[in-house]
Parts: sequence; C-alpha cells; structure tokens
Amino acid sequence: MSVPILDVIDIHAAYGRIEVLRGVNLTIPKGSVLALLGPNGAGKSTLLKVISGQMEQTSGDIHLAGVHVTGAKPDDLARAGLTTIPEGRSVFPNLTVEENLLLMSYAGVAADKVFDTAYSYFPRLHERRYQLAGTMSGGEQQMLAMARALSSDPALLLLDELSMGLAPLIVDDLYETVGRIAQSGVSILVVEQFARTALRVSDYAAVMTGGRVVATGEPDEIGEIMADVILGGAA
Amino acid sequence: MTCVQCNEKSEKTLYDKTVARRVATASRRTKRSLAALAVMGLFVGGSAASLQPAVAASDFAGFTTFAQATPLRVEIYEAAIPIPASPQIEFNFSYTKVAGATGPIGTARASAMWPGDGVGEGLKTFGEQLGLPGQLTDGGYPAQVNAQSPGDTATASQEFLPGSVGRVSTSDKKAVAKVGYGTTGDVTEGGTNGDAKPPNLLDILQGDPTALAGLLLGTATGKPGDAAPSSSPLGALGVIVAAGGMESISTTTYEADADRVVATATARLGSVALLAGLVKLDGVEVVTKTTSNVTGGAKTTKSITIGAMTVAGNKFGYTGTGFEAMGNQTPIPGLPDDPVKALAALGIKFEMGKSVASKDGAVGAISAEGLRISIDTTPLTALLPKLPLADLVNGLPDLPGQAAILKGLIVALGEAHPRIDLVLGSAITNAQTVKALPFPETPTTPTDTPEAPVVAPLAPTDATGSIVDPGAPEATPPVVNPLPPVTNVADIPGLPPLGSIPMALIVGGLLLASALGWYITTAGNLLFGGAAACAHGLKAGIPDLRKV
Repeated sequence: MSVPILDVIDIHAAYGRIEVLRGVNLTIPKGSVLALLGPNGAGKSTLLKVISGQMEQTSGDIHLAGVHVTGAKPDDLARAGLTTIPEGRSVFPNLTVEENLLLMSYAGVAADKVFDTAYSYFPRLHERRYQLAGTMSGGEQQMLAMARALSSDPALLLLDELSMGLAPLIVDDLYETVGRIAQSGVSILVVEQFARTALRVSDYAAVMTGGRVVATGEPDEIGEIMADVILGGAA
Repeated sequence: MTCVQCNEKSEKTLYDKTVARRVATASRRTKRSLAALAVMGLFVGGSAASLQPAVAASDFAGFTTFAQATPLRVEIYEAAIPIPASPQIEFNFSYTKVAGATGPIGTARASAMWPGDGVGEGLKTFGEQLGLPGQLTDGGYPAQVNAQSPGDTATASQEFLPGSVGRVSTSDKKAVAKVGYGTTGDVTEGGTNGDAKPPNLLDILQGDPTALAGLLLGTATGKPGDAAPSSSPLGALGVIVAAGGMESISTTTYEADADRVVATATARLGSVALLAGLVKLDGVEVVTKTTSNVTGGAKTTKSITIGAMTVAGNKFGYTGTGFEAMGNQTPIPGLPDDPVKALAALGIKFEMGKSVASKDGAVGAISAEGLRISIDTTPLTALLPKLPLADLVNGLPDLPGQAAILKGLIVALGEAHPRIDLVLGSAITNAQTVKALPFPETPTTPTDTPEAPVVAPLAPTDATGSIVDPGAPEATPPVVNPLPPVTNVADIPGLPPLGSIPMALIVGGLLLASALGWYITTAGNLLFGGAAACAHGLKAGIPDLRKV
C-alpha cells in the first residue's frame, strides 16, 4: 500500500478550555476523495484548520506523504500543495472576478495560467469576469473560490462546507466539478453536512461527532448508518 | 447763436454734452468696479469656504458591528435531545440580526421565529438525517428574509403571517432588520424618540377634520413629492390604533465619512399605540446601543423598561431600577418572599434580566435581557404519574428505514425533564473600530532645487558694449535662496556607511550567527537523529506534495 497523502493521528485541539478535537484519527490515500460528515459543532472545520496549519493542536501528529509536518506554517503548506477553500467562500466582494483571480498570480503563478484554469473549469466566471464578486450569487462566489484554489495547482484540497447556503441544483453542479478535479489526481478532503451529495463523489467517508471520528468506511456503508451514528450516538 | 437762443431752443452746448457724457461714464465705471468687487468677494469667499473640509473624515480604518434582538426567546435545556448545542432547542420570536464589517459589508436577517443557528442554518441536514421529504427542507428554513450589501439582494421583505412583516435593507452606510406584528405594518426603533413630541392628530389630518372620513376608510392622499403611502395591513387606520405584539429592530450604521460606527438593538413585547402615539402602552422594551470610534473609544448604553405607559410624552412605569414618573425614579420594595418561595417549590423562578457590558478601548459589547422566567420541570414531572410510555412504544411495529430511530427517541424523551427558560426582551450589540496601520515614512533626500535660479549679476555696460565701472554698490544685493545644506549620509541615523568598521562588525556578526545556527542544527540532527523527529519514526519537514 502506498503512503497516504494525509495521515492524522490522535489529534487533540481546544479553544481555550473547551476541547473540540478529542483524539481524531483519519487517513486519506493518495488520489482519493474522503467525505468528512457530521453535525454542527462536531469539530470538522476545526480539524481542517489544524491540518492546514491555521490552528495548533494540543497533541497528536500530522503526516503529509509520510513526512511529519506538525507545527508547519500555513503559507509553507500552501506552497507545498495543500490548498484550503474555507467555509463562507471568502472572496473579496469589492473586487471583480478577474481581480480576485489576479491576486493568485502574486503567489507565483502567471496571470494567464490562472485565468485559463479558472475559466476552463467554470466558463460562467468568464461571462462574469468584470462583475463585482459581492454582487454574484452564492453559487458563483463558490465557483470563484474554487477557481482561485485550483489555480494554485493543489495536490491536496481541503473543502469546507461547499454547499452552505446554496440551492441543491447548484450543489450538484459544484460536486460534479469536484469529481472532475479528483479525476485529475488531486486528493480531496470534503467537509460537508449535505451528506448524500458528498457521498456520491467520494471514495471513502468518515463521520465525526463530539470531536471524534466515530465511523469510517465506504460511502454506501456510511450512508446507511449515518442517522444511527449521529442521532443514536448523541442520544 | 446766442445763449438766449440756445435756451429758447432748449438745445445743449457741446460743453454740456461733454460734461454729461463724463458723468455717465464715471457712473458706469463705478458700477462696473462695484460689480467686479462683488464678484471677487464671492470668489474669495467661495475659495475660503472650499478650503474648509466638506465632511469629517472617519478616524478608523476598519470596523465590525453586530446587533441582535428578540422580544421573546424560549430556551429548552435537555440533554436527551440529540442536538449538539446549548440550549438544545431555542425559539426566537420576531428575531432580527444585522452585522457590518469593513468593506463596507452589511448583512441583515429578519425572521418571524428563528430556531437558533444550528437548526435555522442546518435545517436541510436535519431533514436528511430524519428522512423527511426533500421538498420540505431543500429550500432551507422558510420563515426568514435576508439581505446583503454588496450583493444581489440589498432589500427584501416578507409577510410571514398576516400582519407580521419582516423587512431587511442593507447599503454601504447601514443595515436594518425589522420584524413586527402590527396594524401599521412597520416598527420604530427604541431609545431614540424619548424626547420627541407626540404627533398632533390634527397635523396628521393636515388641519382638515373632514379628512377623518377618508382616513377611516383607508384612503391615503399626498401632495406632489410626498412619499408613497405605507402598505399597512389596515391602511391608514393604523394611525388610530397601532397594535404591536412582538417587535424587534436591529440597525447598524457605518458611514465611511462618519467618525464612528453604531449598533442598536431594540426588542419590544406587547405594545399598543392609540391616536398616532398620543397614548402608548408598552410591555417590555429592551434597548442596547454600542458606539465605537478610535478617538473616543467604545460606549455602551442600555434601557430596560417593563410595563410602561406613555401619555403625551410622559412615561409612567416600572423599570429595572424602580418606579418612574415624569423622569424621576423611585426605588420599590422587592417581591414578597412567600409567593416567590411557593413558585420556587414548583420549579418556577423569576429573575430580572441580566445585563453584561464590556469595554476595552474601541471594542465595546453589551447584552441585556428584560425578564427571565426559568421553569425547571423536574418538580412537575415528579408530581405526574408515570406513563407506561416504553410499553406503548414497544408495542408499535418497527418503523421503516431511518425513521426507526424515532422509537428510541420517544422513549428517551419520556424520561426527559427539561429546563425551560423564557427570556422576555433580549438585545445584544457590539462594535469595534481599529485605526489604520501607520506606514513608515520614507526619508527624503534633500535634492530639491530652489525655485529661483542662481544667476550671476551681469556687469553694467554702456552703449558701446564696454564694461563700465559701476562704482561702489549702494546696497548689498538680496541673497538668492541658497541650496539647502547637503546632509552627509553617515549622519542619518541607521546603518553605518559601507566600508566602515561598524558595518564590517555587523556583517561579520550576522555571518557568524548564521554559521553557528547551521552548525547547531546539523549537530543536533546528527546527535539526536533528525531523520526521526516524529514519534512514529518519520522525518520532519514539509514535502512537496505535487512531486509525491
């Protein structure tokens, strides 16, 4: 078996005195899509912050491609190919689509290449390239956030709540794009509450609740036991 | 021609005509001079006025504001309810929330009944987990209206129930969210109209008592330029009777040219206004306000009013600190002990709402509640006979699919004894401003050339071109603006000049420190095994994931 691209071992993390991650173990094989599911407050977004270096864990280890990276800075990880699309999209609302994309060129990627990547995945952004990002719909803003991340040529993509505030049809379209990205060889960790759509494009799935991963397996298995794991586990 | 003849013919002489022409010319000149002076005066005055700043620039570079209000919140604390939140269930009636941030970005939300962020935002997930039909939950929580600026929805309104209207509006200067049930179809902000005079009914009728008939029939008229009539559910009858049940208004202003940001939250429960506000009856009103700017810092204010009646602008009522009449407050004795003890025995507790305020420089926050009624159902459930709920549920056939879990939940909830808190009037505001980061000033090299060129005085010459001795000068010629003194770079504070001994010492020290750091790192790796920095025997570092 090849070395997994991400291996999280017994991670603990806390906000002040409140511990939100209580020994998380998670493995993502290279080139696969893992859907991390769970209710609000389970610790999913916190885990992404720890993996991407935005938050320091209190204990535990993180291995990227067989290398110990605990304590690495987020910008170093981003340069190494770990890209995060945060919850809430975080586009610059007062800049146009093209200006938002142009910002990625400051990371060393040529502007033309950034535009090519963005517009090939999302032709709609080309139509809206002179429009202020804040005036676009939620789905189009999510496309912009994804395009911005893809232009950095990621090897491991962390997607946080892709579906938040979006209509189901838009969510389906975006997850089709996620599937295309995965086919290009990018490993993806999808944090999602919209379980069924995420499971459709994932190779593996895990369920978090109460700061722990309580179930892992194939998407079909997880889909069947999802309600039992979340509701039954809490009750 | 004699002068007598001239007079007889009434003709003027050439002299008379010349004098008259000069007088007229002088008069025209005087008028032109006065007009010119007037124009210059206007110009100078205008210039002076234009030098004054048109608007005061804001003293902050970034900000955040937040306001949230609800007149009635029901909180249910029960660990058996499988929702990872505390309280597990909450209902916020007539809920409003606004937020502002640097950009400016404004968001506003109004809801007739907001079930908390956990359920309100994640209703779709709950529906999926419970196996509910997608049509019920795919569109998200229905009883809410939202706006965002910049965004595609800057203003919106929705009538949740007949007469219950939610309105949200956002712009680059403010965000407002309102919810209220009232015959006027609109709600007013609290805490700002305390000194305002009540309107005169005759003024509303525009001095024409016969207009009352049209008013009662809901006919609205206006002069040219007047705003469109309000879309009140009762038409203009709302002027006579304005009944409001549960209202809340959250506003925040963040004008770029203003010197401060403001967040205001108003929660009001039970109000009736008669005769266009001449008589007002209010149940509970909680108003909090937070302002912030960098110079003055943050300021928080609150106003909690319970059971107030306002007649012609004079308020009578019980407040959080006593009885208030004509602006004076008198302390009142507390509630008698016996009824309180009796209610406590049943698990019912009354608390005057708590208010928590904090200020730290330009960061301010305040939250206030009107009245909190806490009901602990443990004593009540102990008094009730136990139902054989488990036997009844186990007798039911198994439910299909994911709904099977509901049986277990019903049994678990039968054992529940939740604590229920009723909060009457809740308002939260906070605001924060930050000043701009100071940019370092770049030292300017004094290379500016003087405006007046330095010219050597020419020797005087005569008509033939030969130089003439000018003799002794009468006075010293004025000194032309000399070049500013050139400052030696070495005199500027900072790094010593290149090639000097201090600079050599600095460079040498840096090189020595680098070499020492490299040596210590290498030695440490050799001694302690840098290849096995992890407890799992893996090397430490940051791999290039694209080449793995």
